Amino acid sequence: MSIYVNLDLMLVKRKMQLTELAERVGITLANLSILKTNKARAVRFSTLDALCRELDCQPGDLLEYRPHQSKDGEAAGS
Amino acid sequence: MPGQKLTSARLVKTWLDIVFVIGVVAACLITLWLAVSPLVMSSDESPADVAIPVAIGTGSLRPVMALDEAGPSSGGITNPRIVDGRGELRFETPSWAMQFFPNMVLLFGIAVVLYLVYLMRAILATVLEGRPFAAANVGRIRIIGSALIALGFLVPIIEYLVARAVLAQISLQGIAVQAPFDIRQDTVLAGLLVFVLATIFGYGSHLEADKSLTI
Repeated sequence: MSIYVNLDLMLVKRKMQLTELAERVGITLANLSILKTNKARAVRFSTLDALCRELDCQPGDLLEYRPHQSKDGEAAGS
Repeated sequence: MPGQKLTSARLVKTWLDIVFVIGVVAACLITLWLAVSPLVMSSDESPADVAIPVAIGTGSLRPVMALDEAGPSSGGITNPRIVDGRGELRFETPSWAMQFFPNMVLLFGIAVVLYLVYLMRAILATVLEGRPFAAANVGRIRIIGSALIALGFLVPIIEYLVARAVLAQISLQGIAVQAPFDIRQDTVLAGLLVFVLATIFGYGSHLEADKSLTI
């Protein structure tokens, strides 16, 4: 997957703990960890909405597209 | 899952638990008999019952046994015969080998059925835990399907070989019997059906993984 969730970066910027965000957003810590470690396969709009609201940011601040690098240096798809 | 369906799943699991316990007890008793029978039978030559499946009549594919008419039949009926007749030949024998091998086959059958019941119990346990599409269930269902297909072919082969070996030592008068070879089409079909279910379960398992990783 080439989509990365920059949750840890936003948490540092907002000086917030993952536990606190989990409580504010109403998502379990386990699910938020899945999101933070880029293991999630999909994100609901409602989750994105809650995260943006609590972190006071745009979806683009949380999500980033990083193309996979192949051995010869070319960007490859997922 | 609705409570009603969970209740039926619990009932089926209880029933399978009972079958499993009965099967284990039966397997233990047969194993015990197989273990002590050489010692008991060498000292005691008393005959015991043995049963083997047989096909009645002559001819390989569909055995035919012609019947004698007691008198003229009404309606112009002639040439009565039994076609493709199946039965069980029971006899008494003091021979240890003739008693040992059919019981060995029975033990093998019980072991396979017990393993299938064990897998079904494991599947139902995951259903009761609320995760019926667990990845392990796909493999379990595939094993059940493969076992059913294999049994559909293996059981007739084993039955045929045992019956053939026993019949070679018996001479009967007045009736022709032979070792039957009947592939269990219904068992093979059930196995294929279970394979189709496994494919559907595989897709369900994929969706379940997607769902659990959607935040």
